[in-house]
Amino acid sequence: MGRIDLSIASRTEGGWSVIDVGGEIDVFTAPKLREHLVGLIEGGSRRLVVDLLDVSFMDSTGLGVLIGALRRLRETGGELVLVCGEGAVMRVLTITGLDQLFPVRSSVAEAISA
Amino acid sequence: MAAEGVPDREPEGTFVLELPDDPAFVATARLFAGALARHFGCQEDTVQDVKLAVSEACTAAVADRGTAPVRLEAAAEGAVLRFDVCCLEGPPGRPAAGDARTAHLERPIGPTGVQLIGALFADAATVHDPDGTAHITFSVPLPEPR
Repeated sequence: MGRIDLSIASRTEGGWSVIDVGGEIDVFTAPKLREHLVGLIEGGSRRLVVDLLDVSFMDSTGLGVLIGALRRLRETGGELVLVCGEGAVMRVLTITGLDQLFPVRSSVAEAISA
Repeated sequence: MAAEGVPDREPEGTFVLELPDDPAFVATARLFAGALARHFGCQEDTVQDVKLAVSEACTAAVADRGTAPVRLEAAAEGAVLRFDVCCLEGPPGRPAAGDARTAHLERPIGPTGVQLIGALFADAATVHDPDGTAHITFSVPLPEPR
């Protein structure tokens, strides 16, 4: 009981790498997301959209992963956009003020057309 | 306003969950805490805040517990549900908290997690026992009994 997993899938759309994430992001699952994002960035991806619409929970370990990815991308002139709704993920971003740091969109289509 | 199923009497009781020092079980602590908050009539937004705070506290706990279990205690005391996560047990003879020699032991209770809990629950605190054991505590207001 309580063991969780995280689903992560990547695709390319409109010149962006879109990462669809589902499940819960915490101290147990965050390393998997970190590994995936770092792999994409080290593989040359510079424009990332992280779709968090199917993420039902995220704590500060998840925020740490996203901040790390943003920092890596900005060092090389890249971009990272988050997609999330009004649920738990947006609440964490708002509480921490990180909604001011990350571009946040409500859909992937909106993110890649911005 | 209270959620559906608000108890019709003053809530009381103490609930304890001990988990292995394993990040995989932080989700179990969240489920436990969320279920308790629902049981005592908290609205869903508050339930989600409880789960976030417990996740942060338990993450701090598993960061430096060695092989000791992580202990989460929730006590319903009248108008509040009080949470206590034991984050770090001081070794025998450990100097009092705040001593420079133990500064590294404070790291697991990282600022981001505690600040986040503090943003959610105003009375959130890190409390040190005389033996050096550290706890993250916070309390959740409960709806009035019907």
